[in-house]
Amino acid sequence: MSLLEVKGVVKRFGGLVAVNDVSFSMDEGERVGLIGPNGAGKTTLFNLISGYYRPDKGRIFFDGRDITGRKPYEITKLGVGRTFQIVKPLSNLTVLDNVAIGALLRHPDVNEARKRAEEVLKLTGLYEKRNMRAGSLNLPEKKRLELSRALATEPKLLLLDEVVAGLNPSEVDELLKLLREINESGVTILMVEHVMRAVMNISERIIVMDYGVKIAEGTPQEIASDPRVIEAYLGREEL
Amino acid sequence: MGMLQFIKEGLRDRNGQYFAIVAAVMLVAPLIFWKLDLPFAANAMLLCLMFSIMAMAWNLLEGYTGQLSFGHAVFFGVGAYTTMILMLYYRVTPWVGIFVGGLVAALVGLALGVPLFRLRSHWFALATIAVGEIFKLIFISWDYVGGSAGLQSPIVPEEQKLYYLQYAGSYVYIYLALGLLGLELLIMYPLVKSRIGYYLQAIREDEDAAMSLGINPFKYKMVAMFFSALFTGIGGGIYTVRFRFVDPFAVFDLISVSVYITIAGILGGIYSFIGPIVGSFVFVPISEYVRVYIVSRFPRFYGLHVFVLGVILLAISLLAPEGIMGWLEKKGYLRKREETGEVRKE
Repeated sequence: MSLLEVKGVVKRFGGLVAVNDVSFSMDEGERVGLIGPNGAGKTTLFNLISGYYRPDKGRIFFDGRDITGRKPYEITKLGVGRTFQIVKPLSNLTVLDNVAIGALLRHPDVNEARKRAEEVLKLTGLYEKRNMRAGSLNLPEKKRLELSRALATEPKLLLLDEVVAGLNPSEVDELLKLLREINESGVTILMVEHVMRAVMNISERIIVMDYGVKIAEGTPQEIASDPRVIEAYLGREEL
Repeated sequence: MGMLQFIKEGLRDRNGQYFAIVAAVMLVAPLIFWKLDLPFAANAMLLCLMFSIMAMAWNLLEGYTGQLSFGHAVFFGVGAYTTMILMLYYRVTPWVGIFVGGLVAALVGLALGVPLFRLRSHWFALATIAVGEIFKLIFISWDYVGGSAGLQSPIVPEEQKLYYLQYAGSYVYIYLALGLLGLELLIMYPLVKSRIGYYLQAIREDEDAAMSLGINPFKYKMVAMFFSALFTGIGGGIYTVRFRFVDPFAVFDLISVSVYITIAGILGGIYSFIGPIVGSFVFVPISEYVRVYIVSRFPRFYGLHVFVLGVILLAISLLAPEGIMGWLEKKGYLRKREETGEVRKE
C-alpha cells in the first residue's frame, strides 16, 4: 500500500491554475525528487499535501487516510513533516528550543523533548549552535534547522522544500549523506530541489512539473534524457 | 520536610534569594506604612500589586503569545462587577466572589477569543480597543448593573467585616493582593515552563511554522486568553473590595485600565516572566504621585498623569525598548537569557 497518494489535485489562484490535475503516489521508504522550472507549482503542491492550501479538486491520501482539507497541524500529527523554502525559524528562541518544540509533539514532557532535540541536533550537525538565537543563524544553518525541527516531529513522510539550495558542494554532500541516513531509518522523503546534482544523486524516482502539470516521471536516467523535460528547462528548439 | 527541603534548595539559588528578599520586604512594608500612618504609600503599593497581577496576566497573551491586547479593561470590569453584584444582590462573600469574577472574565475572554483570534497582529489589537469601548457602552445602558451611576456596596457592621472583606485603608488588601499574586505565580510559572508555554512562544514567532510542528494556534491562543482574562478579572475583584464602588467609566476605561496594564507590561519587559511586576512597581507609583500630589496641588495641570504616561512610553522606546528587565540584562546585571534557556526578542 502506498504511503502517499495524490489523486487529480487542482489548485487555482484567481485565473492561474498553479497545480493542474496532478496525480502520483509514493511507497513507504522511497526517496522521490520533485523538480521543475520556477513557478511550476512544486511549492504549491507541497502546501496542498501539508494542508496549508485546500485543493479545489482532487483528493490526497496519507497512510490510508483521506487528508484532503485537513489542517496543517493535524497532518503533522498524522506523520507528515515539512520544511519551508522561505525559512521560518522561531527567531527569538534558541536553536534547541526550536527543535524541542517539534519534539514536544511526541514527547509532551519538556525535559524529554529537549533531550530528543539534542539528539536530533547532533545528527544534523547543529548541536554546537544549540544555545544560539535561531534568528542569528546563517541561511544554510537555518535550512538545517528547518530539517531538524521537521525531524523532531518524528514524521513518516518528510517534505523537503529546497534544503540544499545555498550550500557549498561539500555541504551538499554532507547533507545528502544525512538524508540517506534519515531515509534508511525508515522515513520516506519527497524533496523539491533546484540543485540538479543533488536531486539526481539522491532520488530513486523523479517527478517533473511545468506550468502546474506533471509532465514526466521516472528514474533520474530516464528524466535526464526525456525530451519534454529538456524542453521545459531549455525551451523548444526553433526550426 | 518536603516543603523545608524545597525552601532550602530555593535559597541556594541566586534568583531564589532575590525572591525571598523581595517577598520579605513586601510582607513587612504594609506594617511599616500602617505604623507610620502612610495611607498614600499603602494605596500605591496595593495598586502596584493589582497592576502586577493584571500586567503579568496580560503578558501571557502579548509577551508569550504575541497577541497585543488593548482591551483588558473588559476582564477587569467584568471581574469587578461580578464580585460587586454577587456581594450586593446575593450576599456572596468576596472571598468567593473574586474567584467567580475571575472565572466569569475568563469565560468572557473565551467568547471574545472566537471572533478576535480570527484577526492577526494590529487588526487584533484594534479590535480589542473596540471591544473595550463596547463593554463600557453596554454597562452604561444596563440598569441591572446600575447603569452609568454604577454600584456601591454599603458599609457593613463590625461583625460582617471579615465576611465582606471590608477594612479601612489599603493595608489589609495588600495582603489579599499579595496572596493572589502568589497564586498567580504558582499557576503561571509552571504554565510558561510547560509544553503550553513553548507552544505559545512558537505561535508568537511564526504561526505557519508552529502549525508545521503540530500546534493548533487557535487552541493555544484560547488557553492563553483563559488564564490572561482569569487573573485580570481577579484584579477587578480586588478593586471592588478595596474601593466598594464600580462604575463603567472607571472600570472599563481605555487609558487608566487597558493602557496602564499595557504600559506596566512593556515598561518592565514583555520577554521576561517577572518584567510586568517590575514595570508595575515603577510605573504605578510615578503615575499615582503625579496624579495625587501634582495634579491636586495644581488643578490646572489636570490630566498631567496621562502626559507623564506618554513621556514614559517615549523614554522606554528610546532608552530601553526591551523594558527594564531587558535593559538590566544588556547592562550585565542579570544572567543572559540565552544561558538560562530563555531568549529575548531584538
